[in-house]
Amino acid sequence: MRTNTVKLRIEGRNIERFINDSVKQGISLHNTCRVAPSNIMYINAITATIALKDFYPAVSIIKKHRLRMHIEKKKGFRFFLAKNKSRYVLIWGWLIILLALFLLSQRVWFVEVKGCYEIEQAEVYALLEEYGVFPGIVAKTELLKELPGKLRSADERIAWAGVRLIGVKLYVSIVEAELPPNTNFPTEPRNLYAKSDGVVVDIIATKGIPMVKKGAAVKKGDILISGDISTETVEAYVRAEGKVIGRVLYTFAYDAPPAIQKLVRSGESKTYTSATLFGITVKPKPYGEAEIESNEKRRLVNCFFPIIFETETAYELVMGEATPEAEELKQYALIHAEELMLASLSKECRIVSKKSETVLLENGGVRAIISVVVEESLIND
Amino acid sequence: MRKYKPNKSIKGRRFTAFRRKFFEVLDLPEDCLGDVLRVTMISNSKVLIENYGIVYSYLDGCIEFQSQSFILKITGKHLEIRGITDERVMVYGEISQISVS
Repeated sequence: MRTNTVKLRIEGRNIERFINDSVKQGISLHNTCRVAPSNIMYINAITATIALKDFYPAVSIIKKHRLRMHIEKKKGFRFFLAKNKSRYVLIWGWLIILLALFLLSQRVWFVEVKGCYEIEQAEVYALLEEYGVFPGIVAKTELLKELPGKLRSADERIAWAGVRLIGVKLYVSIVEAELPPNTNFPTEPRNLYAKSDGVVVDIIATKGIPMVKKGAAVKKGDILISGDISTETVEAYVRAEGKVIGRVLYTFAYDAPPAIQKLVRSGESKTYTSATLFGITVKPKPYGEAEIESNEKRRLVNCFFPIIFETETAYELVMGEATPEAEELKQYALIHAEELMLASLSKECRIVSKKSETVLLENGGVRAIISVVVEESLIND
Repeated sequence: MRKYKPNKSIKGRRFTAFRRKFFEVLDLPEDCLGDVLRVTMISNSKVLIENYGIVYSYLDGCIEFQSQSFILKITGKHLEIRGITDERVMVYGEISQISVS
């Protein structure tokens, strides 16, 4: 591989003699090709690449044959060094950065634990820290070799542990041991009971015997799946497990008083002008809560920018008692009844039907009643 | 342009003639002699010439090499002497014709 090379442009009449003499003297020419001469007087011109060590012998041949030479390109590490001789701060800076990168790459900067299900990740991190593995340590081969064995012996729940270092990140893989199943059978039946009144839609018993069928109406406290699997001859009990979905009716009511708390105008108001340019509006904010009324809109004529000025009036709003219209009061009561419903129902349930109605009370208030039929688990957790 | 004259004494010439005769009698290939011109062409883009002698002329679209007894002419476009040593030369380009005169 040629490291330091010079690309020369040689012009003159005796180009062929230069090539032959160079070859005779052991100068190897590369990528020799003809080019147009810079001056018509030179007739011939070539460019050739030679090694740096052959430069001065080539110059003497060029002089001998009265040719003209021009250095077109210099390539190589020695040229780079010569060029950056005065930029020693830059070179030292790069060297320091490379050295720092090399030194930092010898350490572990990130530790990641994988494969934790039953065991908490924090427990594994604590174990690692106990054995001297934490971000910033030198990645010693002996330490990393011993680490899986130490982890296995430290916790019996760890069946296998593996350590893999990729770059500056240490991956610790854990395989948890499968603990033997509990062989202690219950001495009495463990049944599943209904948590509310409803109609059974679906029932799947994974352990135990189902006591109700699809479409059956159940009351709160009824046995849904029995844990007694005894036969006539043998007594046997299990912890009943399964899924029972049923339709349950819920009713929610909210009484709205005739006067309600809401934002009302305090009587204070301010008028100001806002400016809008490219969708960005600049305007003052006179009150914390305010009702804005737009009065007048003007566009600046004979102007390059589309600036729009708008006169607005801000009315201050404060919390106060107000007596709304019947319709508004109904809406208010319904909204609150719905909020109550959403807060009470579980997130897993599915609403099948919903009915809402309002009743005017004697004191002038409104009662909102929402009746929903939902499908949810009937089993009491 | 100067002529290429191989610098050989009478003794050397006689030895070469003897060698040539010897190879002929033994029915050996002539290029085993080592000092004969040998042209290897790869497609129409590369030509390797061994024992080429000297570069006789190097013009636009034409390179001539003068060997011991004849001139080898390579004609084409964008001809470039990619590498040259005292024994072999590699010519790259769109070669259209190679002739010997």
